[in-house]
Amino acid sequence: MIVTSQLRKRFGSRRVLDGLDLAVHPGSITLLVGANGAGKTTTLRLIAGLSTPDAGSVSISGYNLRDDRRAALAHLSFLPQSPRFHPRLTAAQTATFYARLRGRPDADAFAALEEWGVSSHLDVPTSKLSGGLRQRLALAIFALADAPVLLLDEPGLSLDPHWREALQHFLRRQAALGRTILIATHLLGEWDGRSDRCILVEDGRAHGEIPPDRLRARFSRPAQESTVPFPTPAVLAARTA
Amino acid sequence: MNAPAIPSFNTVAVAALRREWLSHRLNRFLYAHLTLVVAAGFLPLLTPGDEFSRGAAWWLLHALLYAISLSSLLLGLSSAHAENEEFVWLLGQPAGTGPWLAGKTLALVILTGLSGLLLGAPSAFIGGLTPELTLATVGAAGVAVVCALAGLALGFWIRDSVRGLIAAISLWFVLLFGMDLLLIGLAGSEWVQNSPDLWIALLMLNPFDVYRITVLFSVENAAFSGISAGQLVAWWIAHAPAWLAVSLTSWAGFAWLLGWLGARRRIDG
Repeated sequence: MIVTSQLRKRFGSRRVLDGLDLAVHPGSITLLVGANGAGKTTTLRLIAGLSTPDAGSVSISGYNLRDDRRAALAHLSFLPQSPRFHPRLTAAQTATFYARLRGRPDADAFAALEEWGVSSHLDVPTSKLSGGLRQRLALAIFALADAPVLLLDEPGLSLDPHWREALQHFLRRQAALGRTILIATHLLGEWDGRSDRCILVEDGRAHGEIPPDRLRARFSRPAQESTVPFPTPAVLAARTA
Repeated sequence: MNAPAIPSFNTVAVAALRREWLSHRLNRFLYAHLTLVVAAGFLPLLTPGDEFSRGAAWWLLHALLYAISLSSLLLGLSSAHAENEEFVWLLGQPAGTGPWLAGKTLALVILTGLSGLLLGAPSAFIGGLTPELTLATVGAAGVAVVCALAGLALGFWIRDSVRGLIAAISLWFVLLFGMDLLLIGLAGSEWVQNSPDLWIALLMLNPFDVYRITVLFSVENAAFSGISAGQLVAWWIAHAPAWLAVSLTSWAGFAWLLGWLGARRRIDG
């Protein structure tokens, strides 16, 4: 379970989080949605211990992140947005390193790489992997942590439709196993009706919930606002005349 | 679901050491450094006959000061910058910054320390390894380790690779020339003439000077002639190798601490 209480964070003069309260429950997929700059990524970074709140607290599986950081992080796996790795290490070397940090055997790392379709690129330096492969390597490392709390920041951005579907199935399985899953995403269409809860973040606060099956409708604009009619041949001829 | 594990200090340090070791297999800075070390190691063989034992130490002294110190500094810097993109993963693990940095540092110490010892290998091979040359070789390895750790710390504090490179070269110039120029400038002043030990103490802080003067003492049995020797000079002459060891160990520890603070700073970075 993730609980945040009155999280506040400023970057210079800009207030990004202004007393964010969240409670994310086990066995569910919860989405964090909102406009650019609403504070979604900052929220995830604070929960993952990558940033320090100016005020407020974060608790992961009952462990306070500030007082018991290592125990809290042992219960958490975080998938950052657009992940990158040590450029000179191969996919296999990278994955086995993180397996060891989680007390897992190397075989688990290779199994995760196999599951996410990276096994034919084991000896390729990560700097030579394509964006999609790098994202799948990140997913393999993320998955092998086997943590009860899963945090994902825009997980589907570099993935093709097949792997996006695989990711959703994976997360649904993890939720069924009782894991707590929190995802920040812009790909609202992908998740429409596929999450259990959807929390709207605006102006650095949780501004209530949106029914998961109303996600696309809540954020879509009328067609005439977002599309421009294609010019007819007569219009084009008039422009070039 | 397995119970989440908090890895022990040793587990993290050994994993980080192994990872650092593997990561240097494709590091061009390491190959440049090794090339310089091997080339410098053969230079003493150019010294003819009777002059070998004296000349060989001079070759190593100059090779260390003007080339290997810089290549070690850049090796450490490259090691830190290679982690730039991965801090978001590393800091999100239940591993702790200290154990991870301890493993990484140990790998770097082994790499630069052992490669530094290669400086004396060709001379040893032909049976010319005198006590003076041994001191010059071990001291050079120590200075190389300090430089690598300084580069590592610098790389953690300065994320941008170009700025990091400029800072590293600036630091190298300060250690090689800047401190000495400053001390030469101060040497004529009244307060230095009245308290020469203070001037010597400043000189004793610079690891490059400590190494340079230790080799000078041991090879030439030379001492300061410009300033009438005070108590500190007498102590230094008597304990030059011991002070070299203390100085290099202290600077290595200080550089490690700075590196740890720099890595911790990446939270929020």
